Amino acid sequence: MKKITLAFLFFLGFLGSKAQNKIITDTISSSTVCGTCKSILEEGLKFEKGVIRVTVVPDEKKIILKYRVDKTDRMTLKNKITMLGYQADELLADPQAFESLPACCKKPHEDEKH
Amino acid sequence: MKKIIAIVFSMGIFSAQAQHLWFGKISNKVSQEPISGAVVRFGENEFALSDAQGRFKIKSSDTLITLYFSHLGYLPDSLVVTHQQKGISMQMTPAPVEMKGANIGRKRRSTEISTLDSRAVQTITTRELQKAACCNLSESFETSAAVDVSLSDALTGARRIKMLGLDGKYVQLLTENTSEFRGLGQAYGIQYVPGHWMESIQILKGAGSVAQGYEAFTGQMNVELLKPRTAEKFSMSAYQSSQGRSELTAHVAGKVNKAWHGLLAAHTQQEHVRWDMNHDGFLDQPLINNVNVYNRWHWQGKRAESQIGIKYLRESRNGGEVPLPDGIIPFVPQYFINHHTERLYAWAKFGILFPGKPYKSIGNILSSGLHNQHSQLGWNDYQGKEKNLQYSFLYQTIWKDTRHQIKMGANYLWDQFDEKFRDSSWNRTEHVPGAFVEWHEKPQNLPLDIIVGLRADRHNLYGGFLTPRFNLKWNITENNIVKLSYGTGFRTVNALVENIGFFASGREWLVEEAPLAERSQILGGSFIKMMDWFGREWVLTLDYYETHFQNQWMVDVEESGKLRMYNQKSPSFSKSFQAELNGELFEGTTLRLAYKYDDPRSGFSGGAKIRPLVEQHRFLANVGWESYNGKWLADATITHTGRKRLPAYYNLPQTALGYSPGFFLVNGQVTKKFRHADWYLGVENALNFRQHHPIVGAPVGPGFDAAMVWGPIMGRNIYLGMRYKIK
Repeated sequence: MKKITLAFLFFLGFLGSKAQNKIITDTISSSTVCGTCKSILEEGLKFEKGVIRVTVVPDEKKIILKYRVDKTDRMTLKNKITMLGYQADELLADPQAFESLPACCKKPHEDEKH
Repeated sequence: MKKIIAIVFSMGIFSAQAQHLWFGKISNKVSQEPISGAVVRFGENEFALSDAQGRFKIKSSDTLITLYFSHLGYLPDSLVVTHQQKGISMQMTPAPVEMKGANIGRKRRSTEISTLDSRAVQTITTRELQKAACCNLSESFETSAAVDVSLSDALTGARRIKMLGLDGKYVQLLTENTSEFRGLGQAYGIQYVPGHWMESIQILKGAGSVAQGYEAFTGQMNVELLKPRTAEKFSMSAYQSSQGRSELTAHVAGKVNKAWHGLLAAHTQQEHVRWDMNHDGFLDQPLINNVNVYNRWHWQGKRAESQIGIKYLRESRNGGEVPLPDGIIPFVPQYFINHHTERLYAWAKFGILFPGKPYKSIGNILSSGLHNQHSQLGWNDYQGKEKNLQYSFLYQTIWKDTRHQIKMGANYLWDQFDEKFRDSSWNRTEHVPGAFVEWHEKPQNLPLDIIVGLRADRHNLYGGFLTPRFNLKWNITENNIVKLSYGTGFRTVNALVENIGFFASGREWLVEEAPLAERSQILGGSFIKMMDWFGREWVLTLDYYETHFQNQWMVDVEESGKLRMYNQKSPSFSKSFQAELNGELFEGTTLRLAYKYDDPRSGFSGGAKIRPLVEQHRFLANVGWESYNGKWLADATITHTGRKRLPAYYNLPQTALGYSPGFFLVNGQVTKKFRHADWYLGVENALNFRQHHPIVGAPVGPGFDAAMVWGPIMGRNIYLGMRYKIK
C-alpha cells in the first residue's frame, strides 16, 4: 500500500513538475501607452506559436505573457514585440513598424512625465 | 485529531488577528463620479480593483500601508493609511491628455441596445452574426428575440421574418439606407443578402426616420455591407452542412490610389441533395443554385465624397415531388416547382462636405433596380417584372448650435410593375414625389432628446398623404432610460408576390376587391435599465408597441380550398410586449434571456381573429462564452416557440383543437480562431424536432395545401465552416 501511495505521489509530483516546466507566466516591459496599443499587442501576440494568454497593462507598461516553453521562448516573443513597433525590455522597436502605428501609440515619452 | 483541529483553529484566529481590513471609494475629483476598474496597489505585489461604484476592499497584516492608485486617463496618486482608519476616500484627477481615456478596453457587446440614439435601435454586430454562422440575412436572427423567422411554405424553402407579431413586409428593409428590396424583391429579399457580406444589422422598433420614406410600419431594418475602406484585403469562407448545403463566399478589397478604394465580392449557394425525410413524396427543401456578385467603389475628395455600387443576383429553386426514375410515366403529371429570379441593382451616392463644419452636409442618392421572376408551382404560373428608379436629396445642418439639428430633403420614386398570374395580368406604375423635414432637439438643461419629423408625398394612384413621426428619449437617471415613439406608415400592396407561399396550394384565389393602400399607426416605447450586479453590467429592456391599421390587405384562408383577399373588414391591430435581459455572468460568459408576447389580430370579414400561423409566446435563452484572448468562442441558444393558431378545418397529427404544438429549438456553435482562419462547427435543431405533415392533400384538387407550415421541416443539421482572411 505504502509503495503504491509513494508511487502515486511521485507520479503526481512528476506531472506537476512537467506542467510547471511547460507553461510559464512571464512579464516583459514595453513602451505601450494606451488602449489602442493594448489591442495591437494582444491581437499581434495571441496567435504566436506557444502563446496561451496575453495581457497588456498600459498603465504599467507591461506585457504579461503565459506561454509554453517547449514551443517558444522569451527572446522570440521579445523580437515579435519589437516587430509590432514596441520596445521589449532592452530591445528597441522596429522603426518601420513604429512609424505605421496610430498617432496615440507614438508618444511614449509624454506619459513618463508624471 | 483533536490537537490538529485545535492547531488549525488557533491558526485561523492568529491569521484573523494579524489581518486588517480597509474599505474605500475612488471617485473623479472633477465630476465626483465613481471610478471603476482602478488599480489600488499596496505592499510588495498585492493589489485590489475598484468595482462599478468605485468601492474597493483591502486586507493586509501591516498596520501602516501606502496605497498607490492608478487608472487609465487619471493621474496616479498615493495615500498612507493606518489600521485605525477604515473609510478611505480617494479623489483622482483626470489626466490632461484627452485621448488617453479614449480606448479603455471595454469589450463591445455583440448585440447593443443603443442608449444614445433616441430611437429603439438594436445593433447586431459582426460578432453576433458569426454566432449564426450560416448564411444569409434571413438566418441571422437565431440569437435575436425581436425578430423571428419561419418558413413561408413547405416547398419553396423561402423564409419570412416577423417583427412585433406582423409579417416582414411591414418592416422596411434597407441596405445602407437605400431601399434595395422593395416591391417584388421584398418577398425573398432577406435571403438575397449573404451573411459574410454583412458588417452589421440595425433593427429599429417603432417609428423610424422620415428621411427613409413612409414604408416602415413596425420598424426598420438596415444592413451595413462590407465597405471598400474597412473590409479585409481578402477573405474567403466556405460552409458545408450535413443537409447538403454548400456555400462559398469571397471578396477582395483595397486601395487603388489616394482617392479610390474598391471592393469586389462573390457568393454562391448550392443545394443539390434530394431529401424526403417524412416520406410524403415531396422534397423537404428545394434544390437551390444561387450566384450573387457585388462590386462597389468609394471616392474620397477634399470637399466631396462618392460611392457607387452594383449588385447582380441569379437564383433558381427546383422542388416539388420527388421525380420518378427515368422510363416510368406517372398517371397524373408530377407536381414540380421551378423558381427563377434575376436581379440587378445599382446605386450611386454623392455627398458634399463642408470642411470645418462637420454638422453640415449635402447628400444625393440615386438607385435603380431590375427584378425579373418566373415562378411555376404546379399549375400556378407567375411572372413578375419590376423596374424602379429612386432619387433622394438630403440636406443636414444646425440652427445656432448642435443642440438643434435640421434634416430636410426630397425624394422621387418611379416604380413599374408587370405581373402575370394564371390568366390575368396585373400592371401598375407608381410615381411618388415627396419631401420631408426633421427637427432634432436636445434641450440644454433637460435630459431629453426629441426628434420630430414630417413628410408629405403624392402617390399617383392613392393621392397625397402625410407621414408624421415622433421620437423622444428621456434619461430619467443615468441608468434608467425611457424611449417613446409614434408614427404612421403607408405602403402599396403586391397581392401576389407577398403571398407566394400560397401558390403552393390548390386554393381558389378570390380577389374580392381592388386593393387600397395599407395604412397604419404605431405607438409604443421601451424602458431600458442598466444595472450593476456583482460588479458586472446588466441591461434590462422592456418594450411595448401597438400597431393599428386603418387599412390592411387581408389574406383569408379560414375556409378550406379558398384564398380570399379583401381590404380589412374589422379592426386589424397587433400588440407586442418584450422583456430582455442581457449581461455577463463571469468574465467572458454572457447571458441573454428574452420573452415575447404578441397579440396580432386580423380584421377578417367574419370578425377579427388572431393571425394564423403566428406564435403568441416566445422564449429565448442564449449563453455565449469567449476564452481569454478570444481564441475560442462557444455559443448555445434555446428557443421555445408557443402554439400557433391554425385555420379551423385543420385537423392533423401533432395538432390539436386548431393549434399547432409549441416546440423547442436548440442551436449551438463552437469557433476556434487562428491567425488567418476561423473554423466553426455547429448544430441547428439539435433536438431534431419536425413538423411531420407539412403538405396536405394531393396536388390535384382544392384540398392541396403546402402553406400551413408552423415548424421546421428539416431535422437536425450539423455544419462545418471556415473563414479565411488577410487584413
